[in-house]
Parts: sequence; C-alpha cells; structure tokens
Amino acid sequence: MVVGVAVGSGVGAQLRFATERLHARARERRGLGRPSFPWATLTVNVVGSVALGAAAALAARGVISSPWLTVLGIGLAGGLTTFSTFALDVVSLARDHRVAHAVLDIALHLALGLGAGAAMFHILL
Amino acid sequence: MSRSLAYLLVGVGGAVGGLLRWGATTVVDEAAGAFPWTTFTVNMVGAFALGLLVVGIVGRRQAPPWVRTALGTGLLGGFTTFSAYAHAVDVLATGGEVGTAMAYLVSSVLVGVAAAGAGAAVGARLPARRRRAGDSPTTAHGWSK
Repeated sequence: MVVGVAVGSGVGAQLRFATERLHARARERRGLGRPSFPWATLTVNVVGSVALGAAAALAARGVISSPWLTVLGIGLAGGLTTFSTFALDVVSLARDHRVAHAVLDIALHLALGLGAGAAMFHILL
Repeated sequence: MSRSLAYLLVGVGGAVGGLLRWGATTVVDEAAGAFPWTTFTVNMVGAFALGLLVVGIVGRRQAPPWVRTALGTGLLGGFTTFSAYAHAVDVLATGGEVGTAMAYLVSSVLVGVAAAGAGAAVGARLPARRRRAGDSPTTAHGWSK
C-alpha cells in the first residue's frame, strides 16, 4: 500500500510537471512569454478531479477494490492535482493587478474541477 | 539540471508528499459528514509553504533551481490535493451536509489564498542574497520585494 501510494503520487506529480512544461513550451514556440493564465494548473486539477470521481464511483460499485481506490484516487489523482500551486497562482495574478484573472481562475476551478468531478462520480455511480 | 533529473526529483518529491498526505488522513479518524479538517490543514500548510518557498527561498535567498522542482512541484504539489477537496465537497453536499460542504468549499479557497499570500509575504521579508558572479542565473519571479 505504501509503495502503491508513493508510485501513484510520484507519477501523478510527474504528469503535472509534464503538463506545465508542455504549456510553457507551447507558449515559447508561439513567441509568447511567461504564461499569463495558469491553464496547466487548471488542466491537471480538472483532470485529476474527474479521475478521482471515476475511481470513487467504480470503487463504490465494486468494480475496483479499495486498495486500488487508494492508489489511483489518493495516490495518482492526489499527486496530479495541487492546491498549493492553485492558491499561489491566484495570489500571483492578484499581485500583478489582474484581479479579474484571479477571480476567473477560482471560478473555473470550482465550476470545472468540482463540477466535472461530481458529474463523473454520479454518472458512473 | 537535465530533464531526466528534473523528472526524478519531481517523482521522488511527489511520492514523499503523497505519502505524508495519505499518512495524515489515515492517522486522523474523521467521521462521515464531518468537516474534512485533515485535508483542509494539509492544503493550507502546503499553500503557505509554497508561497514561502517560491518567494523567499527561491526568490530572495536564490536557492538553486532543483529546490523549486523537488520541493515545490514535487513535495508540496504531491502533498496538497485539489481532487480530494472537490470530491469531499460533492460527497458532503449530496449526503445532506450542505452547510458543511459550503463552509469547506468557501473556506478552502479563502484561507488557501490567504495562506499562500502570507507565505509569500514572509518570504519577501527574508534577507536578500546577492548572486555571486559565476552563479547560474535563476528564473525571475517578479517577487523581489
């Protein structure tokens, strides 16, 4: 179980890192500077919330066992998503006098992260 | 820092962070329908620590790039979670605990942003370390003050 959570969370964090690099590189290729909106963080948090919703529903239906829910839900989805970067992104946007972007980031996280995660959970349940 | 070393640091940091979070939620026994204090605390501590790390340790103290990668993206990113927060709000709300769900929903965002801001503010007060000639340049964060 310890190994499962460690591997799940480690791989999740690596996928999050890859998403951030992909986003930064795509902007560079288009001749743009530092990311103006934290799309990478939003993406991993929405995808991870949907993944946990799916894993929790499948576990509730008995399709996957409880240890797999721990590895995939707490490990992989937990490592993929991040609250700390989300919170600091909002602070950075507000500090750069882009309060509308900060509010938009929070709104999109709640609407898409919570919304899509809950939708996936209740559809599969 | 090579790309493979960066991925290794993120993987190890993320594994340790995830284990610490899982350990915390396993040790603390929370009743169903109760306010998820453990995840809440994990996310708030992680948000404060990331603000302090990025602005203070990496920004003001000019820590080498691997510190941000291993401890920020890896450890603190793996420690904190958005998915568990989102799912807990859903489970609380659909389980009839709408008040607790709303309190958790709102307080996590407000206290989380305040915690990251507080960490950044503390970090901005650390004495600045001037980069020596020959040191590799670190990424500018625009947080010099």
